[in-house]
Amino acid sequence: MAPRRIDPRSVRAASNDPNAEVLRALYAYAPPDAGAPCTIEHDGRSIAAREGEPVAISLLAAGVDTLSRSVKFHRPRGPMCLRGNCEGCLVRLDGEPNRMACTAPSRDGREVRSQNSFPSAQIDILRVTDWFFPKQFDHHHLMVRYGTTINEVMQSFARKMAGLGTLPERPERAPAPETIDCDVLVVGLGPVGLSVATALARAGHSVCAVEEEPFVGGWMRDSLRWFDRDGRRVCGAEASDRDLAALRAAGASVRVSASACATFDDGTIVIQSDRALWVRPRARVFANGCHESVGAFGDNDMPGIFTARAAARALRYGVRVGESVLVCGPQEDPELDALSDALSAAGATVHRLPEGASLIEALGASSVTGALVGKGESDAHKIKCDAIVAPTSRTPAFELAGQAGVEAAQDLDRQCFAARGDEFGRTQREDVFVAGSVAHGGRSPVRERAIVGSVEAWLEKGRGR
Amino acid sequence: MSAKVLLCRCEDVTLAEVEHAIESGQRDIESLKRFTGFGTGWCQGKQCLISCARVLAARVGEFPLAPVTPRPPVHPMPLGMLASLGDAVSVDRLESVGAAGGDHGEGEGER
Amino acid sequence: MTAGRYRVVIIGAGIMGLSTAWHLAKRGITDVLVVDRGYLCGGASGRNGGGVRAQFSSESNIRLMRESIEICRTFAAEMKINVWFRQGGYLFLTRTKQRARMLEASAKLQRDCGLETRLLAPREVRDIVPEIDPTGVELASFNPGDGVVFPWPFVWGYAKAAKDLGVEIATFTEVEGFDTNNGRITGVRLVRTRHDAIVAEDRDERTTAAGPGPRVDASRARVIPEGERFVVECDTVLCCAGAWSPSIARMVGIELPNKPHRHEICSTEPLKPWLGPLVADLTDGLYFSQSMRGEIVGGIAVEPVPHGINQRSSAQFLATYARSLVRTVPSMSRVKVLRQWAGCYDLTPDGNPIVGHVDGCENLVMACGFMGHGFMMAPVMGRLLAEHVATDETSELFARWNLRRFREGKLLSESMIIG
Repeated sequence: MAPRRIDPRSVRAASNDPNAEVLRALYAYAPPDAGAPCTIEHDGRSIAAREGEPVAISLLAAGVDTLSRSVKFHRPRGPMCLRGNCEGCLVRLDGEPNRMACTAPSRDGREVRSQNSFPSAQIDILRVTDWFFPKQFDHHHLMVRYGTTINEVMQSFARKMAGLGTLPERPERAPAPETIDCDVLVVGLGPVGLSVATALARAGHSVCAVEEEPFVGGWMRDSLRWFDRDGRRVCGAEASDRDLAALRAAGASVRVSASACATFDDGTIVIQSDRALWVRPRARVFANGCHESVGAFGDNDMPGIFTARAAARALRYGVRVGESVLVCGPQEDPELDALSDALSAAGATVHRLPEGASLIEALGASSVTGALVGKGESDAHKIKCDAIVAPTSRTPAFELAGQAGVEAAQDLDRQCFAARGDEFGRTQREDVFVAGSVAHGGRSPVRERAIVGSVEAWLEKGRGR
Repeated sequence: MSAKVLLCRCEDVTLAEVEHAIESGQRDIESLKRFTGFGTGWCQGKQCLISCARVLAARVGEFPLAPVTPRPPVHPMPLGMLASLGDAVSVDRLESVGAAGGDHGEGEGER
Repeated sequence: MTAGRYRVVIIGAGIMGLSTAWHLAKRGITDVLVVDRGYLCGGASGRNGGGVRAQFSSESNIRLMRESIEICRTFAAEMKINVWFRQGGYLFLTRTKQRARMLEASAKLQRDCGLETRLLAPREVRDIVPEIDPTGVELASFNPGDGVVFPWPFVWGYAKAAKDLGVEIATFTEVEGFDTNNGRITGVRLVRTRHDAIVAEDRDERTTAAGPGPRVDASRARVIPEGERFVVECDTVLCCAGAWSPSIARMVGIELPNKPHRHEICSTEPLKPWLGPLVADLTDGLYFSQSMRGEIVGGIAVEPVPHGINQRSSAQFLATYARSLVRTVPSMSRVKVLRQWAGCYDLTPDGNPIVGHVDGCENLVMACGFMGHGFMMAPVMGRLLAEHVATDETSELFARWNLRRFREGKLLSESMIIG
């Protein structure tokens, strides 16, 4: 597979497409080649990388898209979401099993090993499992009909096959945790979280704001659309940085690469790359957005299949997910239009699904070489491509609010669950608030002001006690 | 060989398996999760819960009232860091936890 | 309204209730309804760590568990569902001299009962699990015949086998109260707790059908909408409701001494197999084993626990468990926790269960207070309970385990309780 690094200058020079402007603005603002060149090692092979970019991006740029094998079928897997939400890029990293290559930054000498494959993730003979069980792996009834002895043989074989990584050889002592007592913990620094956290900090409350990714802005940073800041048109990365500066100026304690993993009545555990935080806030605001998952089509787990946001994020790092990319999803969707144009500007050939057609099946033996699309069985035809931006559903990430005791209710219109909050962000827990798409709130300054008002009212009430 | 549709990538649960489980009587989301194992792997359901709930809804005619109980953590947490929390995590507010669940098992304490 | 009449109504579709239902059906008593307030595996049967051991400190427990282990071994072939029983042994550690003496006494008793239990010096622990740091360990004991199972398929296996013989199982169906007459339960008042596709069958259809096997015409089945209340009549009520048992007994005016006790547990990312036995530290209640999927599943005792039934998770548990586990296996420090949850032990004051008829309600049979061992004991308890219900004969064991021992002051003992 060809290397997929984009020459930022070629985007600036060659493309006259007006939609390529955002990508040009993005590369002008945050050059993807700013990171120092470094070398990481992947299964014994040296890979040229740029310091600070995610390991998964470095590998994609070098044309490596199969990083692991699935747990039972040994199906090839690769990065899909590029935002720490799927298992596709799990590798052994510097001796530690099961690290997501999309959340770990490249730096000189990092050692990446594929897991659960023999002899390698690229060629794994245990893939026979996949062919042996053409429909499903019925572990409940496997070998139950031939008596106890045969069943025991099967079980001891299954035990040997189980698991992903191997136990780390060396222990690691974690440094002492940091305990933070504050008025408000804001989880998730996408546009809504940034805005709510900034308003609360400006009002004089002590705010701890955490974001699991190494940067703030959420989808705004990855977006290939324009944003308005102080009457000026800026790219998403610049808009995010400006919002972060405002949040810091307002006095909030901001942590990035800080993942609010578990929340309890008496505190929230936040995991950073080097240590744990124990945050004991008086109020919690969950603004942690959405999960993205690809739709149900044949071989929808194949390396080379990405969410729209993953493809946009790769572009931000100066990498195109493929040379020939099929972009699925509704016609005239502004985000997909922008992504398609940007991919073209970055040198990829872009195919869109014809009107009314859907993606039936991804084609390829171990990574995408094409797609079967059509309006039905009779109409199906093949498209040659080496990457697919799959139809993606975005659904509220209700889990953390759920741990805090907020009910996740069905949303029949969108066929999903959302954290249940009112238009003021209030939930059944008086110290827990939900903001933005985690509760289907969306972005609206009026609503954000209302949420800030409810949080302040609760803090005020607590002070009076 | 026909293509597989993976609903839960982490545990290699296919659409065929989920449909088969529903047919064999797993007709609520918690039971379906346990029987197929979807949502019990690396991502803990972030990718697959919605796909499985939608298949269930299509088969039994109604979308689940509530998702499977969200259990901590949202992202995997290293034991070494949790061990370091020992002294910071005090039990001084345990009473507030206890108040949530009554003797009879009603209320939010029980999940 | 009345929704039917059964010989036996079993409250609680955990492994205890379902195992008993299946054994009743095998004895020809298929006129059985099992009700549960939630889904299958929603209670302790779906929340435990899957440990199955014969290393106990009382002879009755050791003998019962030997039989249970044998059932686990053949369960998959007999019940046609895999339970992934793996006999990697149980490795008990102690860190105090007092506990060490106790372990010595138990090991002797276990050997007398025919187990292969052996005592290990701290350095010998590493022959079994090289990754363990034995610093501070006083003594260990190991029985290679103990093991771990995957708990859920036991529940499904018993449920399916019982249903195939004609037993009815109604999930999302909660007991609200009892109709009584002259110290007997005549009816069980039930309410559907959540709309669900599982149906309460039409009784007329059922009684006219003949022969063994499923006798219900599904097309005649009637869906009872959410919140609907109904009463079933029965001869005998068997309470297998685990930590919910005291609230069930209270409905007929009986006070049980049991207390629900939250027990937390967690599971890590799946790793390639490295850990053979279930390791349990009797000093702090730590235990952990590796599941067939490769996860390290374990828990620890955390005190105090909240009052009453509470199945929420806590940060205190995570920190306490992690600290003890990392001390025992230092290389686990970089292994990650994927999921934590909680269930309720059903504790009695003397560490032994409450089984059999209760004074004050003639046709109520209790099977509760299993101290967190209910799951591993259920395969054999089901047989004994079915025998008891079918024949009304009380064995010596059930006589000892009767509730009235608390009134009469004849308390029993069991010291090998984890967590």
